Amino acid sequence: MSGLLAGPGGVRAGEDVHQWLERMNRAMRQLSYEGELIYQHDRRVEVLSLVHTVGGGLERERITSLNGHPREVIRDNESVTCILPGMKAVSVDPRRGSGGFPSLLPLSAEELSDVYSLSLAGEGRVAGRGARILDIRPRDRLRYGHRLYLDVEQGLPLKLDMLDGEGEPIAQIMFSRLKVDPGIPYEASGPSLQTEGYSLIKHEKGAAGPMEKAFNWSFSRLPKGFRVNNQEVRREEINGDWQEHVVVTDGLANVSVYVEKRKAGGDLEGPSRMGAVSAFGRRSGNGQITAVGEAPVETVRLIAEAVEFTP
Amino acid sequence: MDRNSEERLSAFLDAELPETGQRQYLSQLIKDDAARETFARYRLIGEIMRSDRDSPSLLKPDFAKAVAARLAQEPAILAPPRRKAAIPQRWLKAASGVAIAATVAMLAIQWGPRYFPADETPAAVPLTVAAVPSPRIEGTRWETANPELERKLNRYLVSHGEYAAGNGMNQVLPYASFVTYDAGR
Repeated sequence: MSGLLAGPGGVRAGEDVHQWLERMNRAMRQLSYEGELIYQHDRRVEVLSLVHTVGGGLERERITSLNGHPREVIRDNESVTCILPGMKAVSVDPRRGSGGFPSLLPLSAEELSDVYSLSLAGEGRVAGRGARILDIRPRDRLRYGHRLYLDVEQGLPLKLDMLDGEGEPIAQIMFSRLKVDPGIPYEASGPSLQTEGYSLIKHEKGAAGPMEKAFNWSFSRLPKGFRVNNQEVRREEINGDWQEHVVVTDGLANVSVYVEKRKAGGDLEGPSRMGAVSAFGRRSGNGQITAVGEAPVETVRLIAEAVEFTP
Repeated sequence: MDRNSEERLSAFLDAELPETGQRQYLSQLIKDDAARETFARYRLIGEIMRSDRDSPSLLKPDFAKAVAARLAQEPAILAPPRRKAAIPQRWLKAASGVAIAATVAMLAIQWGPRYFPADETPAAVPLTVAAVPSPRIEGTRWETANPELERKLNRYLVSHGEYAAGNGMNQVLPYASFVTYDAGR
């Protein structure tokens, strides 16, 4: 491992980087905390509140927008719930796959080192707390760079800068206030918005048994460093139509690929973007492919174009 | 807060600072509790001004009652505010002649600081959260004019956040994009 993780100046910081990532992965899963996040992108500033609780084998997290439209996402071991006051609706999406929270792979220094260079880059302060700075620089232009500020005491990420090829921030998300407290009750991460009289949109799991495969397809050639995260392709029935979803990752950047039957009027053709998230859609016969993820538009396009249908 | 700082804050909130200025200001905001408190208060005032013009009914019905209850509990706050909160002129213009917004804004000026990060009262933040939706504010939005497609992309975004691997903050990003999504622009 040590040879792989040499910093830009030849400083071998592999061991430390690895330990810090381990600490962060552990802290994210095992601590209860609540705070306020500032999310900056495209010269805009959004304020969010976040509550994460752990107790009795249960994890739950709530993210609420504190400006603009009130909107809330709550995720736990069982489901992802979105409260949408604009639509007077609550959407509940059962977690598919193996369950567990959160359904993410821990960040691994070894895994990242092929396409990123990792190094420790001094110390800083965020939300009044001391932070260790971890630089994750891409080795090409297919992915964004990241600068993580990890809490010296707890290991939690206090700030994340997402950087473009020139090292300029594309998006920043940081705690402006953070309280780590094992005493935060589980209820604290429950819904905070009123939902009385709201309609419930429930996304049921598909029927048991072998599912009908919508299309035969595979990836021809993914951009360097990217691989399919789960071999399993998730298939879900939405409004009577089958949709297939697979996540492609380089260990840090993630792009979801959705394959479904083409629909008139509601499909993406070409690129779109929202903050640090890019999307690219294209059609192929009567199939629609849409890729969505936190990567440059070009990368998302390459991934969408790597989908090949087979008879 | 001196006049220069006020103008800088105002320009920051209105996205009028150049990019380097935005970053510098944000760094200051992270380090400086007082600046952050003022930022939060101005933000609230601005949103109240804007939300009133579009949909005053979105104000939670019990907001005024809740504010009144806080007033009753803590009469000491009726003393002059700790810092005089100057409202940028552009916001005042936007609200002229709108009685309800002005009333709520005045309450916010007096009470705002107590509802924001410096105030650790647990019930404080949710009160302001639900009370000041702002359909007019320019938020993040997919680059498309097709509402059906927007809904679909948002659904992808949630599902993507659910399954995407990544580090903690990175995992929050898709959700952050979604909860701040501005459907009303």
